Amino acid sequence: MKAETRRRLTELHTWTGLIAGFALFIAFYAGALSVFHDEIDTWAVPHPPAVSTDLIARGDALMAKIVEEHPAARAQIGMTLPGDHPSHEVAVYWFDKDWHIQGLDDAKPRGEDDEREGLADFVYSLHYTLGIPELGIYLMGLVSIAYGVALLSGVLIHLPHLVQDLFALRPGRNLKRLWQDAHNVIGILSLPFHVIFAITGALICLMTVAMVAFNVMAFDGKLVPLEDSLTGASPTVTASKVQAPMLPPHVAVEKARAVALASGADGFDPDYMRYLQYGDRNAAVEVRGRSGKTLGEYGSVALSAVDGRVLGVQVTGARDANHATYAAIFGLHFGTFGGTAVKWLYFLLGLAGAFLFYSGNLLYIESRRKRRSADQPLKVRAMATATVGLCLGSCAAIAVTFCANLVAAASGFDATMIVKPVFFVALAAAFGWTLWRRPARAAVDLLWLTAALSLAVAIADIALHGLRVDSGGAALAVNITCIGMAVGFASLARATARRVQSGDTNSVWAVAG
Amino acid sequence: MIGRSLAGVLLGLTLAIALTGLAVLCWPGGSVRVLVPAVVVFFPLYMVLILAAFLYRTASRAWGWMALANLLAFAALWIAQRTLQGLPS
Repeated sequence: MKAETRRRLTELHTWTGLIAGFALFIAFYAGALSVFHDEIDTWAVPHPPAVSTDLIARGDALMAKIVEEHPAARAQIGMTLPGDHPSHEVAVYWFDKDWHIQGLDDAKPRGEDDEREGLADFVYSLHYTLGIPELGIYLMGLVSIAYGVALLSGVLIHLPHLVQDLFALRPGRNLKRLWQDAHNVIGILSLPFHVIFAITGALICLMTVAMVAFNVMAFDGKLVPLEDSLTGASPTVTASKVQAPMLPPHVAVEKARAVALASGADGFDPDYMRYLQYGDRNAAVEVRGRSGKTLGEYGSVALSAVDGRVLGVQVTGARDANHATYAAIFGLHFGTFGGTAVKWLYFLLGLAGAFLFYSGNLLYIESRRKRRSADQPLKVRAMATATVGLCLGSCAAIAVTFCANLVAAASGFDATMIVKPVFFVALAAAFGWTLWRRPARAAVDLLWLTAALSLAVAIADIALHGLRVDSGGAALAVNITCIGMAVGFASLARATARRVQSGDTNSVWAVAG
Repeated sequence: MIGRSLAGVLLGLTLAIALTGLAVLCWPGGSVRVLVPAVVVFFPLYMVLILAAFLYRTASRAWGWMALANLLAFAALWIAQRTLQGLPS
């Protein structure tokens, strides 16, 4: 590669990293936690309300009521099926110009973006929207594309030294070399994981947008009408205008399970079902569920909603390339294909990913450092402030949110009302603190704060609720992980403090004077 | 930098759509069967094309070659849409 090309690629890598790095740090940190979404949810709701056994029957009645009031909902109306973590909501979804949602206990429907988020759901939505309503998911799609370009350019720049530097980590006086080595080694060793995330992240966020673009530019408007059949099992259903009674949900779910198992799926755990052309003689009912021993766990079975005849089967072992690929996108992204060990691997690689973006920013600062002056250029100071305020600030803010959830749950408040505002107030406070204290001191403060809060929340939870063995070990595992994270953040805090005290004074990481 | 980025982001987008669209239309054994895999391929292809704009010696070369590639790809797509079976309507 010519030196000129390499320089341009380095510039591209720097800029895509700058644009996407902060969003990616938050996405990876929150994403790593979200690997254990259900466990965090179990932890966050220590005394879940008793679940009634007639949820499916109530959902059935609610759907019947909704199609009476909103005839347009007949085209597509469905419900989530009962799940096994406390804030999982059984709710009816229907399409009438827009998506509408009504939970079993809701008096009236709400819009798609008006989801009440508990702690686990909030951390998850932070992962893919940064907490920005409506546009956040598309923003993260664009960030994923920039991330892909940053990965490609990073690998190309590093390619000439890839093998010889693979296991090189050179501590010593040259800090830039150390950070460069750390950045490279993490980037290369977790490259397959990053490739998966750049592609599946972009896909999950932008698939519908891409479909519309292809529809217009390449397929003469014939793609969008097919879209449902590419991801679901049901063929297109046209209403006959002759009414017929519907197969009730519990019957449809049981039938679908039997059909999926007969088709060779390893288990079939239904989590969503929907009717197409509800109440019509031609109506179909489609049940989506998860199976084991496959990369893409989701599959679906479509039945006639009148007589239960099988209309389509797209489950593992019996599906086409479209459905297998679609399911694999989610399986690869969520790490649901391999049990607990893979989840822990995803958790650790997620944290390593966050470190990759953090170290990229440190590298930016270190390579632009003025070595002979205590005053550093504005861009270096701004970068240091943004890195500490946003990256470490969001770690601290998430820890604050965990504490707030614990306090709210213990004092009887509805935690879903507070988690989002608490996070953003805490993040703003952390950023303000960084501006005021300057990045060097603020980094140490925020790391100690995160460590202290992580430890405190685990101890407080155990003190308040005991070991909670009834949760199947989930709550205990969350508490132990919190303690582990506290140890990790504390060691980062100590290392950073050492740097501030005794490192080179001509740096943003030194305390002036 | 800006010139090259725009060439990659804009012309790379249309080129990636045209190329994957073309591959789908030409796919032996039926276009519908590979629609989702094609969308999966589209994203890394787009990323590669954005990067490719930075491999040209000047921004105007990037614009020129990528515009030419677009022209050829869309011409081929236009012919494919009119001669091959395409998606069922």
